[in-house]
Amino acid sequence: MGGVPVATECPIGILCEDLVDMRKLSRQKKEALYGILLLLPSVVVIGATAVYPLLKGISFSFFKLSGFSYDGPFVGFANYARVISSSLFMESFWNNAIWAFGTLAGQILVGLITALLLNRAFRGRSVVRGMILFPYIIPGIIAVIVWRWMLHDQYGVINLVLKRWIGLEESIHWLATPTLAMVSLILVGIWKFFPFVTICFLARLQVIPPKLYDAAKVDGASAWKEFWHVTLPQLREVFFVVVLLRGIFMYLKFDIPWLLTAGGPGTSTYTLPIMSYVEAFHQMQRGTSAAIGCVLFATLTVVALVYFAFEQEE
Amino acid sequence: MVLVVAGLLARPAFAQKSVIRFLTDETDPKSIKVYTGMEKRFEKAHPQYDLQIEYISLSDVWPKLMASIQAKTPPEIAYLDPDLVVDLAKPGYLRDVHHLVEATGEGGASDYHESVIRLVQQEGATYGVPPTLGIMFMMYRKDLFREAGLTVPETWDQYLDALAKITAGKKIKGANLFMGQIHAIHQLLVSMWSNGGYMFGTPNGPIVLESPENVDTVKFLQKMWKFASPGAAADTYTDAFMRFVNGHIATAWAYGRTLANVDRYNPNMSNDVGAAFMPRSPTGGFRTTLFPQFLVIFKDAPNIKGAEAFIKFHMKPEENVPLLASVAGHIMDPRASVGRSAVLVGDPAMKKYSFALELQAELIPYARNIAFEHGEVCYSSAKLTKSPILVDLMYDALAKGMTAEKALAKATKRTQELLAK
Repeated sequence: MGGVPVATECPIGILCEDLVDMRKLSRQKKEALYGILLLLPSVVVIGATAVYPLLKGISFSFFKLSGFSYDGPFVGFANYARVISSSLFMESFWNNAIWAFGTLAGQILVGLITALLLNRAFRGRSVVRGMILFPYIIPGIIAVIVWRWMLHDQYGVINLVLKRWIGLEESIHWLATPTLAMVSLILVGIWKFFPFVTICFLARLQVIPPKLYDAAKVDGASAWKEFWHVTLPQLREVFFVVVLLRGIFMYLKFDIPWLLTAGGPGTSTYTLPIMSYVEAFHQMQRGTSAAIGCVLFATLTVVALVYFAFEQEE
Repeated sequence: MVLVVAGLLARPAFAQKSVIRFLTDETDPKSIKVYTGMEKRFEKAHPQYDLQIEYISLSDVWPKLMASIQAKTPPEIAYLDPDLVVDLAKPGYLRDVHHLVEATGEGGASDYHESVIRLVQQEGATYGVPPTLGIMFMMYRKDLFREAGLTVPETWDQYLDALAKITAGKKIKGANLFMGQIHAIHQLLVSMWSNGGYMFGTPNGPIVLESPENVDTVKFLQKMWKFASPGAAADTYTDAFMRFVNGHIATAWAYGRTLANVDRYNPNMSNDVGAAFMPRSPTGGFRTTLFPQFLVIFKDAPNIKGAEAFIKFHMKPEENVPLLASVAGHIMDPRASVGRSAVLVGDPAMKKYSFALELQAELIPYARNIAFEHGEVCYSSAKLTKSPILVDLMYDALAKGMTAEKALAKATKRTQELLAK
C-alpha cells in the first residue's frame, strides 16, 4: 500500500502502485488519472482516424496488393522502385510542386493584401470581412463545378465577358492547353483558400501595437517602410504557421485538381495525389498507391524539417 | 384484444422487405424517369422486395464498384460494360446467369445476338444479361455536305478532303476528337482496327502499339485534329457531343445519344442530321465498336433471388423498350424477337430514330469490343483501356504536337509498366 511512488513525473508512473484502489490515491494521483481519462477519447479517436491509417498505409506500401484483395506477398521496396522509375512519376512530382508552390505563393500574396485592406477602417468593413470567407466555406466540389462552367470554352461566362468587353474572337481554352490548365488550376486554388490566410494575418494585424506605427511616423518612415520594418516583422510568426499549414494542405490536395482537370489535359496537371488515386481505384494497385502516399509523406517531412531548421536559425 | 387485432392487421407494415441494390450508369433524366417507373411496377408485382437504384456516371462505375467489393458490400445487380464484366468474372465475383439469358430470350439464348453474349462467357458460364447494345457510327450535317456538293465520305482521305471543303472560310469545325476517357479510346481503336493495327499482337500477347499501321493511324488522327476545336482536349463526353448538337462541328463519331440530344436541345437541326458508317482506312475495312452493357449479379450479394426476379422483370420488352426509347437511337435491344415486337415497332421515339437503329444493326458485323480485339477476351486490353494511357497518347500526339512515333513509344512504355504490376 502507498509507499514511495515508482516515478514522480509521469502520471502513469505515479499511478502504477495504487491503481487498484482509488481510495488510496492521493489528490495528485487522482488529478493525473482524471487528466488521462479526459485525454483518452481524443487519443482513441486520433489513434483510430490518424495513427492507425497512417501505419496501415505505410505497411501496405511494402506488399503487392492488387485486384480486389488486401492480401498479398511482401515485396519490400519494390513498390517504391516501381513508383520512382515510372515514366509518370517525375512529371507528377513537378506538377505537384508547381501546383503547391503556385497556390501557396498566391494565397499568401492575396491573403496578405486582403488582410491589409480589411485592417483599415471603412464603411461596411464587417460585412466585407464576412463575405471574404465565402470561397473558403463553400464545399470544394461545388466551387470546382462552378469554376468548370465558368472556364468552359463553349458556355463559360469568362469567355463571354472577354468577348463582349475586349472583343475576343476565339474562346480561350482554359482547361485544354497544358500551361493554361495549370494556371487555371492554381487560380482556383488561390481563390478557394486565400480567406484562411486573410483571417490569420488579419488577426495578427489587429493586435500590432499602434505605438510602433507612431514611432515609425515620428522617424519619417514612408508607408512602404512602415510595412517593411513594422508590419512584416510583426507578421513573421503568422507567416511561419500559415506557410507551413497551407503548404502541407496544398501539397496533399486531391479534390480540386481531380475535379477540375482530372490530371489533364493529357498529364499536364497530373499530381502525385491523383497518381495515388488512379493507382488504387482505377489500376487496383493498392500497394503502389500506398507507396506514392509514403513518398508524399517523406518529401513533406524533409521539407518541413528543413523549414523548421531554417526558422530556428533565423 | 383490440390491441392484438390492431397488431395483427399492422403486421405487413412492419414486415421487412428484402433490399435489392441496383447500380446503373444510365443517368439521363429521361432514363431515370423510366427506371423510377420500372421500380414502382416491380415493387408492386413483388411487394416483398425494396428495389434501390443508384445512378452513377460511366467513368465512376469502376472505382465505385472496387470500393464496394473491397468493403464486402457489392450491390446485388450492376449494369456494366463487357470489359468490366470480364475483370469481375475472372476472380469469381459474379454469378453465372445463363439460366436468365435462356429465360429472357424468346426461344432461349439464341434470341440474343451471338457476338454480344460471347463477350461475357468464360469457361462455360455466362456472366451477364444484355438489355442494351450500342454501336459507334458517324453523324454528319447533311445540309453542310449538300452545300459543299459532297457525298458521304467512305475513306480517310475522302473524309479529310470533305472536312477541308466544309470548313473552308467558316467558323464551324469539321470533327470531334476526344470525348472524355472512354469514347476517346473508342475513336482511337476504331481507327487503329480499320487500318489493321492492334493494341496487342495476340490475345494477351505482346504490345504492338508502335506498329507501322498504328503510326499511320495516329498520323491520320493528327490530320483530323486540325479540323477539331482545340478546346476538345478538355471535353467530357457531354461537352463533345454538345459541340455537334449546338451546330459547332460538321461530323461526329459518336453513339446515338448525340442524335437524341440534337432532338432535345437543337430540334431545328434534326432534319439535317444523317448517320453513316465511319470512314475506313484506304487499305482497311470499316470497323466500329460493339458496346453492349450487361446486367450482372454479384455472387456474394445477400439477395440473389430478388436480383434474378428484377432482371427477368427488366428484360420484359414492355419494360426494356421504354428504357431504350428514353434516349432513342442510342441503344438497341440485342434480341431479335424484340426487334420485331409490337412494343418496339409501335414506340414513336424508336420509330423516329429507326434509321440510326437500322444503321447500327448493319454495322454489327464490323463491330468489335475493346476487350476482344482478336475475337477472344484480352485481359491486357481490358486493363489498358481502363487506364488513361490511350487518351494521353491521343493528347500527346494531337494537342501537344508530339510525333506519332514518340507518342506511341511513350504509350508503349507506360503500358509495359502497367502490365508489369
